[in-house]
Amino acid sequence: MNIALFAAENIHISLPTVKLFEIGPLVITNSIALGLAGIIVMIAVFRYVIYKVQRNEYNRFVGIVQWAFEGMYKHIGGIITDAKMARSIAPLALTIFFTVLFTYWLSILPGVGDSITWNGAPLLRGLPTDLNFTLALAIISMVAVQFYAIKAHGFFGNLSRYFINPFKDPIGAFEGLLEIIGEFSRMIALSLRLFGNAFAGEVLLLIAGVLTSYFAAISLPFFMAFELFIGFIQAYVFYVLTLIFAALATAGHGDSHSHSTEVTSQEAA
Amino acid sequence: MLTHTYLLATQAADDGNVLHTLGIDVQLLIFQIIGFIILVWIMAKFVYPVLIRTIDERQKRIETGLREAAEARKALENAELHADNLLVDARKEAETLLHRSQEEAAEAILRAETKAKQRADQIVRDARASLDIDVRKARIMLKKEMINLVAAATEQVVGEKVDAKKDNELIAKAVAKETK
Repeated sequence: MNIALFAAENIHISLPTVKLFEIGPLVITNSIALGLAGIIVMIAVFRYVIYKVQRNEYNRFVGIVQWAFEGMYKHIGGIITDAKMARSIAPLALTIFFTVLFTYWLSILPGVGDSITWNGAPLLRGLPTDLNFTLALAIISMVAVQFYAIKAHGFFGNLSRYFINPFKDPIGAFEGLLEIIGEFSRMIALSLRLFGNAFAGEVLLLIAGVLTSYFAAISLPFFMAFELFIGFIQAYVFYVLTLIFAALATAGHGDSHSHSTEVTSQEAA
Repeated sequence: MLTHTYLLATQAADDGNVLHTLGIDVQLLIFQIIGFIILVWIMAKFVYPVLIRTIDERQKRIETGLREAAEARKALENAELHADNLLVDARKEAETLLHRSQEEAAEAILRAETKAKQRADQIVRDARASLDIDVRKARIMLKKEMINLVAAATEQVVGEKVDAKKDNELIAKAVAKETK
């Protein structure tokens, strides 16, 4: 293991993550290592909050976590009006939000990137800067959306959203085709948006460190604070888009456009 | 360095191995999908239910509190209405009592006045009766005195004494004549 004095000593930017070691069939990359640390921190925070809540021992930290959780949970009910479905999709949406938030925030810590290396490769890397992770989240999100759409409309009812007889309704058939492309583009957009922001954030911190050199200790905290904010925004965007896609997919065929407008305007507000 | 990355990416694209350049590994992808699903299951099983239960309980407490507050407000309104009714009734009763007491006082005064008048009349009557008796007594005494006086005067004028029986008869006649 090599610990560099300055982050800017050896700039090395690579899109793929680096394999650190293997445990049987499981490959542990540098992003997965930090991602697991983030998930452990997240579970530890919630375990502490649950421990305190069950004993009716409240403090400011427990209050903040409860307030954030309650706000996010009630927000789901605001986007998805069907209470049963909202309660059903809540675990997935909330886990996406908190996982992205914790792993993103952990990737801002000093030491992440080129500072600490293992066999010449960075030891730690933010999980959201791993396209495998963001793509995995997007696939899970879109599969969940399809699951709820089938639950709402039935298997063939859901297929009829995409496959329409072109002889009866040519425009509708074309819309169906666009809808199929849209589903894939949404998935790719979800994964690339999070990956792009996280990766750009990591590069930004690196470049800011290089440019400010000896004054990096003064300049980097501002960029780090900015990245904390971006991390929250990205987690929120992923969470909200998952809910909106689910709401759109489960809405009636006829009112999909009006519902889309309603949801979008609600979010804009 | 960024240029180097860009060159790597364009080279990979030319080679048709974009996924590898972006770092997408099917094995890692599947591993992360399974891992995240397990994480969602853990959170849904052990974390969220506790927090959601506290939210539901708090919501329930808030709803119960609001309902109880509404009930209390209603009870207060009813109590105020009842108190107002009681006050009105009490005021009416007080007015009735006052009116009755005034009437009774007036009656008592009237009765007392009547009784006092009757008593005064009685006193006046008694006084008159007593006075009549006294006058009568005085008259009798005066009559006797006059008889004695007349007898003495007659004795002086006549110079002889008639017997007592004759004397009394003469005086009585004289007095009767005088009183007529």
